[in-house]
Amino acid sequence: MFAAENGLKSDPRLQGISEAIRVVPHFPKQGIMFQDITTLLLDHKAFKDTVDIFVDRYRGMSVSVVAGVEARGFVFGPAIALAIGAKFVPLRKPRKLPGEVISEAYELEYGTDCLEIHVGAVQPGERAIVIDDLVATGGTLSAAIRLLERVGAEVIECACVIGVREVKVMAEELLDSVGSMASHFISLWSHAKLIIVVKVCENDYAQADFAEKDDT
Amino acid sequence: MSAYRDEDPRIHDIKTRIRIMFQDITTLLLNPKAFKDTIDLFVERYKGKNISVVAGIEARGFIFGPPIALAIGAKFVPLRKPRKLPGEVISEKYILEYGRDCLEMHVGAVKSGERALVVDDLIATGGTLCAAMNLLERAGAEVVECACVIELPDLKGRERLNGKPFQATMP
Repeated sequence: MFAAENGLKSDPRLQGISEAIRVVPHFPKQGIMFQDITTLLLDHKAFKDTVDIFVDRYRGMSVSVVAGVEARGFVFGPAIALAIGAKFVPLRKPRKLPGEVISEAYELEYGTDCLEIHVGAVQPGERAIVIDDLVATGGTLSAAIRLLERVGAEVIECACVIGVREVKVMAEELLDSVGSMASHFISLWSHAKLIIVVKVCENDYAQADFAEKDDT
Repeated sequence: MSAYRDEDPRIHDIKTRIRIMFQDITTLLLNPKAFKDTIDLFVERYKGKNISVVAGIEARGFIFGPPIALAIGAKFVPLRKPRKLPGEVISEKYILEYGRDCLEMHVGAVKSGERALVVDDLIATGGTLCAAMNLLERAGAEVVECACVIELPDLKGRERLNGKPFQATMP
């Protein structure tokens, strides 16, 4: 599911993309090495290459729904949707979407959060992908999949620019400190539903919890 | 692109897909052709104008800004609520109807002299767009235009933009 494993290893675009992502130490708190995609967005070629890698993969797979997780999933998802002729469906934090929604709760390291989708955005039987900038524990992506499946869509794959390798390693070793949260990642991984296209970082899994909790 | 001039024929279909009561652009995004037309209208307007920065306002500006940036060869700069951007930022406070809010931009994202667009889904009072413009100008950029899909003309948001050009897909 990582770039190296799905045949992209020798893709000449990957190095430029990886180098364009910057790491910000101790954000949002001490000990967290934050993977910052905003520097990727400043590099037009690298940003375009990132979108193109997703587009190359999903074009011709009859994907009619690209669901993006608020807010950094909004940066990548629409461009992919436009290129493959799919609709873009935002998955948002509570009380942002007007009109009728359904909600799905998911675990954070401390507490829970919630993702919402518009009722009627997706029709039963539609083929969907989920886009976010980064995956760590997989909790948010799992909630996104549950939302889409509740409205009858078939989730083909989740696609992220960055994946946190450490979580895969820790999950496989079933370390107590990761606990049940890593089970989402294991589940996504083992059901071949997760692709991390570009950068894999050896990093603290807890980053995604804070990023997801604070990210609106 | 106003109701008072000959409209580009793509605009009618875009308008019918926006739920005006909710000011909800999400229904527009469900129609690939209308969403693409919305982007294309902006790209046709801004391509070849030497614009190197498209700044998008969190969160719905993140939906329209990046496709425009990618198509015109510009960088995309997210303008975010406080404490979302890691690293060094500059902040601009602005007034809401009740209370205040704040927008942030990364230091170094924009270089002095760059030509920039500001993109959001909708302009209401113009407070957020004004704060966005201020951030870019403080970094030395020239704001060429502010672009939104929807304008609520009764709220006179244009007038808060200090004479900066403004473009809305509709009305």
